[in-house]
Order: sequence, then C-alpha cells, then structure tokens
Amino acid sequence: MNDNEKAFIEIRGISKYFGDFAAVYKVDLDIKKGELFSILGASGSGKTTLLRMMAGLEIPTEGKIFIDGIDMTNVPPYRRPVNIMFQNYALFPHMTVFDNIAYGLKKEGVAKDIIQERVSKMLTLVKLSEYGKRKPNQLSGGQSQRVALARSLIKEPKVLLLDEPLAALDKKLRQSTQFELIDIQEELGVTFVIVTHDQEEAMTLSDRIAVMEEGEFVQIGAPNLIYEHPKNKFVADFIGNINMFDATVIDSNEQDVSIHCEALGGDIVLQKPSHAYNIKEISVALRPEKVMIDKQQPTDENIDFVTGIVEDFGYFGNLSIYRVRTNNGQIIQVSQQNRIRSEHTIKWADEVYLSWESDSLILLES
Amino acid sequence: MSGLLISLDNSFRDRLWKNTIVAIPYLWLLLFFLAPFLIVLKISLADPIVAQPPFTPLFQESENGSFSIFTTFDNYLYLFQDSLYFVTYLNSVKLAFISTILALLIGYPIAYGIARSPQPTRNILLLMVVIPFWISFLLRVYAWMGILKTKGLLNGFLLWTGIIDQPLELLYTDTAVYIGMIYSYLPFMILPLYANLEKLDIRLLEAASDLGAKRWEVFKDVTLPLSVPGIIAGCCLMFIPAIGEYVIPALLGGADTLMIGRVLFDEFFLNRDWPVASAVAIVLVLLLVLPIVYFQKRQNEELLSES
Amino acid sequence: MNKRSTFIFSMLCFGFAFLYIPILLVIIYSFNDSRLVTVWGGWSIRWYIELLNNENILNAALLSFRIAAISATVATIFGTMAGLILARLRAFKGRLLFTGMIAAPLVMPEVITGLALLLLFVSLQNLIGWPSQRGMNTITIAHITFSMAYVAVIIQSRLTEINESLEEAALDLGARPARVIWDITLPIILPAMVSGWLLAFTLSLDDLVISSFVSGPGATTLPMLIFSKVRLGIAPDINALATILILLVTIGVGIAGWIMHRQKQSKTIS
Repeated sequence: MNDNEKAFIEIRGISKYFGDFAAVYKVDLDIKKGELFSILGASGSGKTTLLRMMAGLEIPTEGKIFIDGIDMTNVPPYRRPVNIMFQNYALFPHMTVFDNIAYGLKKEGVAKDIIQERVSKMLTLVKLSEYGKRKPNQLSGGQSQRVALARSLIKEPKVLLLDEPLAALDKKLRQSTQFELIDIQEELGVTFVIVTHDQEEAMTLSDRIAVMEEGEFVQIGAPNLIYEHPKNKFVADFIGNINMFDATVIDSNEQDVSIHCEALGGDIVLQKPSHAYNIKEISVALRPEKVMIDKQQPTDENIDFVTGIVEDFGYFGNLSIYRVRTNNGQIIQVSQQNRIRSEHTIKWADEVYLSWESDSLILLES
Repeated sequence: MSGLLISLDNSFRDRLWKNTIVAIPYLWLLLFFLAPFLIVLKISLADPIVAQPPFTPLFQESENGSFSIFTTFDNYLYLFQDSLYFVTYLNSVKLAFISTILALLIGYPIAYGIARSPQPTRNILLLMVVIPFWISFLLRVYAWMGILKTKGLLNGFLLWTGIIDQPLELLYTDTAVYIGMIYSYLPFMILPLYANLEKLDIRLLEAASDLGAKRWEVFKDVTLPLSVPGIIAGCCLMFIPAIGEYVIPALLGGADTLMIGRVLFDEFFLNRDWPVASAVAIVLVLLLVLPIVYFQKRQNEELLSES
Repeated sequence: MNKRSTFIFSMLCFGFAFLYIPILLVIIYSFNDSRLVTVWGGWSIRWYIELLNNENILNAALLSFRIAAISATVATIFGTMAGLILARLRAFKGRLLFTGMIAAPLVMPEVITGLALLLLFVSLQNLIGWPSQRGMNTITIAHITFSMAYVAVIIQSRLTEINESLEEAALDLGARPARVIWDITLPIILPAMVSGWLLAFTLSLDDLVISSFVSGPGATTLPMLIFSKVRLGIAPDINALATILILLVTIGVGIAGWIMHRQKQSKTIS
C-alpha cells in the first residue's frame, strides 16, 4: 500500500474484553477504499467481535476506529455510514421483501416515490424484481441472502460488513454467489469487509486477507502472499494443505541458506533467503501441489528428490492426492492435477520419486 | 450482547426512554407487591386491638412527645405454642405434595400422548387441555360438589348400578380435596410437561433403540431424564400455590380438613385478628421461600439455555 | 397397537374424560327442570331465564368484566415493558430484585397476596387518605399486579426465542433504539401480547380470593357472588351461568385455534 493513499478504515489498538477474556487484543488494521477485504479465522478467533465493533454493535474496551478520517469509535450503529449483512440475514419477518429493503431509506426520511424507484432498481440488481410482495418465510436461502444484500446496499454505505456471507449456501450456489458479490462490489465501488472461517471464500473473494487467531492478527496480505509466503507455522497450516518438516540451519548468509532436513533427503541449499536465519532449529514447509511425483528418477542433477512408496491415494476427479511414505519414514502429501485422461499410472504400493523446485520450500520458525 | 442495550446508553434521549421503561413496572411492583409484604411483616409484630384498623400502630407517640417503636412477638409465640397451627402447616404440605405427585402421574402420560400425536390431532388435544384452563376455576370446583355429595351424581350412579349399597361420604373429606386439587391444577401440570416433551428429539430415542435399549429402557434412560425440567416446572407451578390453597378446601373439604389457606382466611375475616393472620402469612412465606427461589432459579436457567 | 401405545391411549381417554365429564354434567344439569341433582325433572331453560332476571348476578358480571378488561390492558402494557427489560437489558441495578418480583406472583398463594394488598390499602388509607373506599379500584390494582407477572414471563420467553440480530439489523439501518422497539420488536411479539392479554383477562375474571380481601362494600364481583351462593350448596342458576361461560370460552378458544391454523397455512405458500 503506498503512502499517498490514506487508509479508508483505520483500526488502532482495538481491544475488546469480556470480563478477563480478551476476544480482540490490540488490533491494528488499515483497509483501503474500494477494497474487498477478508478477515479469516476459526470460530472463537475474535473476527465476529471485531466486525461488530466496526458496525457499532459492540463498544471497544480500548482503541479507536476511524472511517473516512472520522472517529467512529463511540458512534451508535444508526449513525454510522456502515451497514452489516448478518449471517442469518435477519430479514424482518413481518414485512414484505419490498418493505425490508425500503426500511433503511424510510429511516432516512426519503420521499415515498424516490423509495419506490430505488427499491425497484435494487430488486433488479439482485435479480428479484418479481419478489417484492413476498414475505421472508416464502423465500429460499439464496433469495433471502440477496434481499439482505439489497437491504444493506441500498443505503449506499461507505463500508459494507458481511458476516460469513456464503456459509449458509450449498456449494454450487456458493460459487455463483461469489462472483456475483465481486461484480456488485466492483460496480458500486463500496469497501467490503468480509468475516469468514472458509479459506476458499477468503482467497477467492478478497483483495487482501487478514488471518486472525485468538484475538490478534497473524498475517495480513494479498491471497497469494498469504498462501505462498506464510509468515509462520500457524498461517502455513491454516490455509490449504501443507507438509511440514523439522530441519536445522547449517549456514546462513546473504546469498544462501544451507539446511539439513532428514525428511527431504539431507542437505539442501536455498537461494536468496528472505532474511538471515540465526536460529538452529527451523521448520521447512512444502505445499502438496509443488511436489512432482513420478515413477522415473528426475533427470536433472540439480533437483533434490526422495524416494518412497505410495501408501494411500484419493481421487477427486480433477486432481489426485497421494500420501507417500518416503524411505526415511516420513509421510509426504502430494497433489497433482489429472491432466491426462487415460488410466492412472501411479497406484498403491508403487515406488515413486518425489521432487520439487528449491524455491518451493518455505522456511518458518519452529 | 445486544446492540440495543449499548445504543440505549448512547444519548440522553435514549437513556430517558430506557429509564422510563424500567421505572414504570419496577415502581409499580415495589409499591404494590414488595411494600405489602413489608407491611404484613410489620403488622405481624403488632397487637390486636378493637379499633379501625384492628392493630396497634408501629410508631407510638409517648407522653413526652418522642416516638417509640412498638413490636411484639406475641403472635409468633402464639403460633408456635398452639399445636394446631403446626399440624395445619404440615397437613397443607402433605395435601399439596400428594396431590402434586398424583397430578404428575396422571398428567405425564397425557402430556406424552399429546406430544407424540400427529399434527392435526395434536393441536385439537392441546386445545382440549387448554379449554378447562380458561373456564372458571371456581365453577370447575363447584362442579365436583354436585358429583361428590352424598345425594350427588357419583353416589347416584354407583347405587344405581349396584356397585355399592350405601352412599359414600365423599364431599367434605380429604378425598374430595385431593380430587379437587388434581382436577383444578391438572392443566398447570400438563402444559409445562408438554412444552418440554414436545421439544424431545425423536432421533435420540431412535439412537438409544439402535444401541440396544428396550422400549421401557429408552423411556427410563432418555425420555425421563430429559423431561426433568418440565417435571420440575409443573410440580413447582402446582405444589407451591397448592399449599396455600383456599377455595378447594373451603368448598370440598370438611371441618377437619386443615389447610393453612383456610386458617389464614378465617383468622382474618372471622376472628378479625389481623396480627395473627399476618404472622401466619409470614411463616407461610418463609416456608415457601426456598421452593420459590428454587423455582425462580430454574426459570432463569431454562430461559438462558433456550437463548 | 403395542403395549406402550395402549397405555398412553387409555391414559389420554381417561384424562380427557376426567377433565370433561364434570363440565358436561354441569351443562346437562343446567337444563334440568328440577332443583335437585338426583332428580331429573325434564329439559327446561328456566334457570337461564332466572339468571337473566337476576340483577345481582348481572351487575356482578358487568363489574367483573370491566375490571378484567381494564386490568388486562394495563397488565399487558406493564408486563410487556417488564418482559422487554428482562429479555433485552442484561444488567441493571436491582435486576435480581426485579426478577424475584416477577417470578413470585406466579406461585405465591393467593391468600398471602390478598392479605398483603389489603393491609397495604389500609395503611395507605391511614397515611394519605387514599383509597378512601375499597372496591373496583383496589381490585383492579391488585389484578394488574399479579397479571403483569404472567404477561412478563410470556413476553420474556418469546423475546429470548427471537434472534437479536433482527433488532441489530434495524439499528444498523438507521433506526434509533426506541423506533426499533416500535418498528420491529412489538410487531413480532404482538401474538404473545395478545395471549398475555387473554390470560390476564381470564385470571382477573376468575379471581376470588384476592378480590375478597381487597374489595369493599358494594363491589361484589362475579366469583365472589358465585362463591357465596355455592358455599350453601348447589344452585341451579349457577349451572346455567357456568354453561354460558363454558360456551363463551369454547367459542373463543375455537376462534383462536382457527386463526392460528390459518396463519400456519399461509406460511406454507411459496
């Protein structure tokens, strides 16, 4: 993020205590205008509490929240330019779809004919033009979600907060809704802040992700940064699948790092380390899709490899996942795309060679 | 934590709203529920006199113009000395307890049967339980007078069919009071039991069955333990007020059916002894404090576990 | 039918027979021309006619209905407030005492509440001169007091079922807290408020003990009148009165049931 762009949402030192328990602890965050930002964490990580503080439904115990330069820390929810889409949609059961969407505008005192116009436009945007007169109990899950979205967006908030937006949808609907959400966000230019426990959701939707655990942020960055360059073992393990091995540092300087890793076959030299590793004990991580599996030995002498036996494999249609027990007793997980349509060549109990590019290895502190 | 709560603390106007909504029922209850009990306590510590009102005032002005407080524990001593009161308290508890158990035994299968019924039947059965509840308590007890009296319908029927040849003395006995109690309080017992049994997840019973439990074991191991909150609610709603019940023993009970509710009523209206009546009331409240507090605790727990 | 179902089924039959036979007998005997229970004098409606000509009973009924209507309405308002507070405000000063004052009337024996309230009115009369005359006003106050506890419990229980996110959504969309209660909370709990009103109405109409304590000369409610008559034995015009009340209740409950049935049906339209 360049220094010229002032953050649109600034969260400074926000903590929330319930009794002695810190649900959120001294959190700092900058979110850019128009960004689609996700806060990713398991349940109990504090992400929902943080979202509610942004909405004004909880008051922080300490810290400040600025939105578009204005201090919003103690501003009640009905006076913030922020709207929230609840996980259970929270549609008013005693009002029609039309009245639900119109509610926010009514509270603003907008004239009736303008309300009529804007609500109709919004219904068209979310593809529910014929549903105005229905009641929430007559809608499907996907339709309810679109009404909830329409209801929050119609007030043209500066920030839209979404609490687990795709959690209640089935897989196919989830995928199509993901893209719809992105389209709407790009069209309207609203800053989206999404809270989710689903890494797939976070990775697909977001410009940037903040990984949260036990009330604190562990790493913030673009999806590929978090995935390919996790800062620590927690993030590496949390996102996607990963193989993790113990290793010791033999030598470390500006050009390269030498480590000794039993599981990966012995001594390995890595180029251009991200920083000097002064510690002895270290972890080496390797993503399953970065491992190449073959019955033939790799021909290039410069590539490191280990041998092993296929102990287990799972077929997922588009890819296969292998669990290989190497000759020094380690299990390495490998995933490969099934690029060739014909019958599988690698099966159970096959002897295989596992190899990888050296810059696929991620060094992490133990 | 509700957003509504914090928002109500946000501006003067909102806080005013909140304080008003809290204050109105609170003050009303303080004045018309709590204060009366304090007054009963005060009067129980007074002497009866022939005056209007018939008890000595708390503050008395003595000759030199200073106030003194006049209290006496005579009334309580009177209660403890006269074994009749002790016996009556015990009898009330015994009658209430037995009635509650019997009502539970009758009401549980009924509640269970309704909860297990398929839909249109279930609503109809529920309505049929609720209708007597809405019909005057007094009139339903009265109905039993006509049935149980010596020249009444039950005796008439039994004599006519030849089952007995002497009419049964049922009215104005303890038996009539038991019947009356069960009859009147049965809806109070059935409804909480039903509310609890209705929420029972059938899949739990199926799981137990699948794991090898026989029908009665499924009931004993799964249904019964899970229905305990309903049982306790129903029993509290019946047992506690039943101890102080007045109407049923007054209409259906005999001269020797000793119940503390009647004693209190008679002490007050017939003997005009307000202080003693107050003392009787205070002792009764003290007796009931533990069950009432227990009931309140369970209510709160139930509500918290639902939310 | 296996053993279990037969037992349950017969208990159901016995239970409902037990509940309804006395009621049916009262209805039948209201048409008995003879005064005695043991003698059947043929069908007649003379007791109904006597009833309708009995001014005391009609006045008492009117008084009871007026008290019931007023106390039910006020109790519903106060009880809804109390229920709102208990369900939505987590902590406030004196909450424990308040919860106790709401729970206690539900189980407190009526003789105690009646005695306590009468003594309060007498003390107030000594202190400030009001109430100078006990009667409709004191009965109404007494009824409001215990009815509001019932309404509060009903409302509180309903509100804990409703997800708070509905109210939070309204706040988020720009409604101030007071408006949220008016726009969202109250409409949703309206059916519960109606049940509360009906319950309070019935409790008031039916109350004998508390009314006896706090009433005064000239204010005789229907239950008080009925009680004084039946203490002395069976009164056939009371049978007629009972039948009329039973009819009213059945019609009322039937209508309520039908309305709820219709509401459920409309929900299944998709």
